[in-house]
Amino acid sequence: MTEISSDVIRGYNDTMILYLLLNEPSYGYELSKQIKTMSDGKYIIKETTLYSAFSRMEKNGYIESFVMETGDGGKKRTYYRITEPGRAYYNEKCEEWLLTKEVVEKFIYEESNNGNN
Amino acid sequence: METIRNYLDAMFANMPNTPSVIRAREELWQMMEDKYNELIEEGKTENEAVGTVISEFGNLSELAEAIGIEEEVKQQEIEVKAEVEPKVIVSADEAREYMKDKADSAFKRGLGICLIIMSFIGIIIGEKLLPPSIDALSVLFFFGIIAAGVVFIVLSNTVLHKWTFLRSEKFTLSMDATKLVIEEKDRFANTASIYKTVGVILCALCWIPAALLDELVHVRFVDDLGGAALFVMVGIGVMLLVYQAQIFEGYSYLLKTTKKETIKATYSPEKQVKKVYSNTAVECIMAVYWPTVTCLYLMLSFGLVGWLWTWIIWPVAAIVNVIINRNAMVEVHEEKTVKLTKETTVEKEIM
Repeated sequence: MTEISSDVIRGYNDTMILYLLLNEPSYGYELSKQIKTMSDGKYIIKETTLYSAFSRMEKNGYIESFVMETGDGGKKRTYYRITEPGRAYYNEKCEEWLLTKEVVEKFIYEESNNGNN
Repeated sequence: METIRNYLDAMFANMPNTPSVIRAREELWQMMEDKYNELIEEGKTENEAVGTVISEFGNLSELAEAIGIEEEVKQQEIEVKAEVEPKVIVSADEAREYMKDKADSAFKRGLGICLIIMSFIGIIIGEKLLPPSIDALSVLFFFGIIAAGVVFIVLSNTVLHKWTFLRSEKFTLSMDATKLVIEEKDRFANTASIYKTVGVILCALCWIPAALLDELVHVRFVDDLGGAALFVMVGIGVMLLVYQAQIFEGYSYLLKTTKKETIKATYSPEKQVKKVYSNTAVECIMAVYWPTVTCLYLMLSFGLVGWLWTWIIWPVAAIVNVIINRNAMVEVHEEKTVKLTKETTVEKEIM
């Protein structure tokens, strides 16, 4: 079975997270669950990958964190919200992807199911 | 759930307890707990849930750069290959007990030192109170108090005897223990600063009773009490200082922040503030400031002025130091780059 290329996806973890944060702040597990659902279970992001993305993007000023108590049992969770530079970065990444996709696709033989490795 | 916690503890066993590492561990735990709870709700068995959570955790090396633990991760990989014995994991209960014993030991050590300082009172009081025929007994007082002091210092070491295994450095704190120690440390910080302040004040003002009594009262016996008061004040002052420093040492030891190398990559979200001297000349002078003051103090004390008044140099030097730092230092906001430098950022604070 073909698996997703971890090399390629690595560059777009940030994009996925930022997309999910565009409308409202969210926290670690919620994001990982959304990524799994939206990719129909084809991509499961590892906890360490997710946290290193948070940490990196926070340092770069793309997201901000805050602690909030959630409804169920008053559990404290770290939430993340997107910043203005984060939105700009997200748009940049989208354009970058469209271009990448356009270029790579020219070399993909349509009937082949496993063009990726 | 317990399995997941142990797994995470083991993963972080060799990592230093820097703020960034603690935060990472905390958040990874949040995510794992959430995932576990949801899997259980979905009707998975405990084993299945634990299996899924652990298999989807990933690898610490992915985090290494982000939280400044590249070296430790590398070291861990080497150790795993070489099958080095894993570290002892200290539980919250053990940490609590260690801190209790450490406080006990700190108190005994402080008291011991205090007694030794105060031993002179034995002579002062003894000579005044006892009739001349047996005033040699005052020497006995003197040595008696010293002996008691030594006993307390020895006891302070004995109390910690059962914790010698911690001294091998082959230990690490469980997540609960880390939290507990940090909480305790924060809670103690206020008390400690009060102890510290009172301790310093007592030491600095120890000459006042002696001076006052000397001026005001001219009865021979009361006069000498001033000398005794001096030792009492210094003794108690030093005791407070030793006590709080020892307790802090215990916290730092558990958290492994005693060694400079482990205090690194203290991650601050946006900016790191660093204070530097704006003027290179001032920087050069300040580099040798305290040694110079010390030299001056010793020279004046041995030379012209004598020991009686030269202590004034210290408060004056401290005030001058503060004034210079206020005026000649500028704050530099360093934008933290993605790659964390491995330089230790230990701020030196001069009291």
